[in-house]
Amino acid sequence: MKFLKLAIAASLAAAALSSAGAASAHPTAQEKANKAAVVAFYEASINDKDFEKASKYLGNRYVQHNPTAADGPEGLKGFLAFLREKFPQSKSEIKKVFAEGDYVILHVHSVREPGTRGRAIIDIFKLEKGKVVEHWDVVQDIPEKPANNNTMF
Amino acid sequence: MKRTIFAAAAMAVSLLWAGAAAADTPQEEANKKVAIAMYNASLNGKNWEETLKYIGPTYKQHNLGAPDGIEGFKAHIENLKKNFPENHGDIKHVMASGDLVALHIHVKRKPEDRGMAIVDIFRIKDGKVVEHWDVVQQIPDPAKWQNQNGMF
Repeated sequence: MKFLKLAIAASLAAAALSSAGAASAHPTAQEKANKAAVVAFYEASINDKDFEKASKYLGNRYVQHNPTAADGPEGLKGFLAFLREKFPQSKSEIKKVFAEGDYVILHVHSVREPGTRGRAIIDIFKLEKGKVVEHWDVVQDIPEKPANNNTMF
Repeated sequence: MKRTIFAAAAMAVSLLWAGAAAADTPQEEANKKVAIAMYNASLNGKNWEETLKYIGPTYKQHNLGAPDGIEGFKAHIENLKKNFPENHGDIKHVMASGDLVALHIHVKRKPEDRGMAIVDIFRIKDGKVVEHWDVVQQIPDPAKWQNQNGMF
């Protein structure tokens, strides 16, 4: 019985210590690696428009939730070809990056043609073993007449 | 024997917490609850008194359709209550990192709408929401979708 009490006390102490450690270890090493992979993937694909380079960061599938893009790696390839042809100067600036577990979120200012207001985009990527396997996004034109001066970012 | 039990218990617990380290910190877990409660009280419940429990002393607004601050948010809720009393957001994903919480939401102004896909990002300070960003997109006609995965 004494063993048990001792064991419980030890457990609680260990839990408190590990918990403190876990808190300071955030983001985890995996989350940091996932963020780096997503930023590199994003630059290679959306900014460099280089499918070969981007595909290094893709996993065994690419489930696409953007309804205007075809599914899979081939859909991404087609989209990058479209950008290269129609909007060769398009540029997206990553304003925020954060990660939770397998998910990485990018808040992006995308300008397809220089001098235009552009669009605010939030991309969500899911990773498996450090590779991008799934993508969701929402896209909104930046309004001409803002009701506040805080910007969308 | 005593030592063995001690060591085994300590190891079991540290393994457990190593697992937990891959998920949220207690602060992130708490922040998620605040963001969800605030969202449900405001956009879904349209209950300003309830909403105020979760709002900080300031509220920096990055949705450019709304005036800055707490009053701007209040006006938005009142507008919804009056013009879209059935407005409802179905929270599909919740993600937290540090002081930020992101909600990925399917919002319908009216029940029969196809609706909008929205990501809201809230910054939480001292357990209250103090800043808000969002991106809002109308869900396109499914006849025009290039894939069948849905937006969520």
